[in-house]
Amino acid sequence: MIGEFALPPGLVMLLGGAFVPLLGERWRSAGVLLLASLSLVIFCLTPGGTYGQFPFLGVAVTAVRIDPLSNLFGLVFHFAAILAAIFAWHLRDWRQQTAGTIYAGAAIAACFAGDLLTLFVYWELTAIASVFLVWAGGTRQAYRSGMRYLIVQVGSGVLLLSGVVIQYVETQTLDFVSMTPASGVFSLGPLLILIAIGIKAAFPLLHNWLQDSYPQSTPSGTVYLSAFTTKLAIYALARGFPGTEALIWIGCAMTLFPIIFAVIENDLRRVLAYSLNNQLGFMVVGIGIGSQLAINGAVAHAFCHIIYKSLLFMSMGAVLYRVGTVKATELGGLYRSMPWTTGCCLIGAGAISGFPLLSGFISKSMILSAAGEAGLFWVWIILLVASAGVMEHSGIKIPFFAFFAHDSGKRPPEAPLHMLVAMVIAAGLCVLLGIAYPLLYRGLPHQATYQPYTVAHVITQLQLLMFAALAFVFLMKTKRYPAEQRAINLDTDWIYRQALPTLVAGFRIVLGASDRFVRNSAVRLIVAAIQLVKSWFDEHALFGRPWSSGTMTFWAGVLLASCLLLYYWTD
Amino acid sequence: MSMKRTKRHGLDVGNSDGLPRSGGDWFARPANIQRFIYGLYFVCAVLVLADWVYEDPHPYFAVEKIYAFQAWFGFAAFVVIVYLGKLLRLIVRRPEDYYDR
Repeated sequence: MIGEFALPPGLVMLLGGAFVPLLGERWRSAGVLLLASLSLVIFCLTPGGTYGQFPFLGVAVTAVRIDPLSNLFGLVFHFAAILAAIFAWHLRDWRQQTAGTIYAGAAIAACFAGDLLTLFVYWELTAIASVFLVWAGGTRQAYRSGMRYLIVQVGSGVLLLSGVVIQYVETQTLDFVSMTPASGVFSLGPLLILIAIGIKAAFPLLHNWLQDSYPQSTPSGTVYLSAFTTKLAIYALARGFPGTEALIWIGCAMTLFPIIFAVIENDLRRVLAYSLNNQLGFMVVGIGIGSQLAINGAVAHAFCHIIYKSLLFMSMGAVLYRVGTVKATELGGLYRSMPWTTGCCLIGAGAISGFPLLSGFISKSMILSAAGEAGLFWVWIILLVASAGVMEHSGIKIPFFAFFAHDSGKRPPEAPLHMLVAMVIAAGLCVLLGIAYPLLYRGLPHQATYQPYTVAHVITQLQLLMFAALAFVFLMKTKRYPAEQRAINLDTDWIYRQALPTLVAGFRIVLGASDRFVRNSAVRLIVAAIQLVKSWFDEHALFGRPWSSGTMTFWAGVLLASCLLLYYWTD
Repeated sequence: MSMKRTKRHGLDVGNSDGLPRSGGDWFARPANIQRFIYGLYFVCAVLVLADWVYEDPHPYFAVEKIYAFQAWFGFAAFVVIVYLGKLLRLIVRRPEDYYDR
């Protein structure tokens, strides 16, 4: 690009998405793919640097910043958008295609936002565009879940904007740089920004919008959703809060609690949503540790994660597309008729579990090593437990219950060709990243000298994974592994879906009753008063009955005499 | 897929440990499943024995020097996670239409 001007990466998709509905139905899928590819080409041709500084309402705004940190996120977001566009080739629904394109474009543009204000604009755009993907599920549950999703996401945006305004007032700058306080005590601006990011990154207790909404979308909608929002938050966290110690423990909690929910969840796309939450935990821990190795690990893990998580959501999307459900209780034995989908799912499962030669291994081990180098023993232990947990729900449960396990008798046809193409490319990338890892390491924000394939690394990792698999066999053989059940599990969404509405309903009953009591009492009081006064003016009562003129004259005389006496005394 | 084939497979419902008993495919034969599991035992045994032949040049923590630490740790962690799941299910399990009633 020439001089001081460059197109913000992603803008082609962001604006082009608006024209997608104008294309004919047959050309729309191609248009979506073309926009994503074109955006990737423009992105690759744009050199690093900051572009587009201009004054806006008296504030100096920077539109675009391209540096190593944003570069990797932008690159993998483009990959995800292209994979999702191929996977969604069958769509004949302009709303999803438009929403998906604009959503991906906004997420990419957000990575390259030059300052906090531009970040906010794209941040809100991702929220608004993506909710249409949740609603595309088409059910009443999807509609209501989308509403909850929208409230949470826009809420995050409002918090972000509040934080940005306070930050601007205090520091007179909109620069999006590290806001980690040296003293460890946050001032209000950065704190609000951190909470806004925390909502999108699905921090513990702020997480449940993710498991609530993602499984409600369409097969391809969830592939789009899984890639962008949460990783945008990880990017923002790596940019704004590296080395914030609290993040280590927040991340640890995030790696642990979802794996327990994942064990008992029946909806396999919800299992993947819990798994996604757990993976984000690894990245948050890395950002919290904040060393060069840890930040590299977090960024590399986000990169690899987007691809293998897309792959897993694609394989479950293909099952949903063919069978109409992804409930573990309804599935089983699908490998017979969907062997390619099974194979791709197994590669994704291996990658997320961290098997050597696949992408998860070369990124997750960096975070574990960073915890080790920092001497954080308990963090290291927790991440090991979490790794065994990943093996449980993503490595074994997802492929086992969908494609093997007991035979459900279902023989759906193999996934359509375009879905297989997307899955095979994603699986290929998982293998490529696992083997040709220096390609990724070269692009990391800090100089990387890390060596993932040492004998010790490979053997200890295989020990962990294989003995976890052995534990699964042991629990299955001894009938101790919990059977899948047609049920749902409560999570924190229970608070706002059940507890608060019940509380409000109860409050309204109490309030209504007390309101009625107060009103009725007041009415009764007034009626009684009127009755009383009425009785005084009755024709036989004191004021109502006819009085003789003699009595009147007497009392008038008494009144006059009293006045006279009063005047006399007061003088 | 022909109906006949579907029916044949429809009948071979897996046994209680979730593994299918019979069928025409490789994974459907119990003997092959057993072979697969023996393979897993073998790999596990090799991995444990491998701890004799190499030394971790820079262990971060003392526990890593315990023999085959990550092997038994992985096994134990997996079992604990599954049992915690079972425990959690007692608390949070609800009928599927819980929120729609």
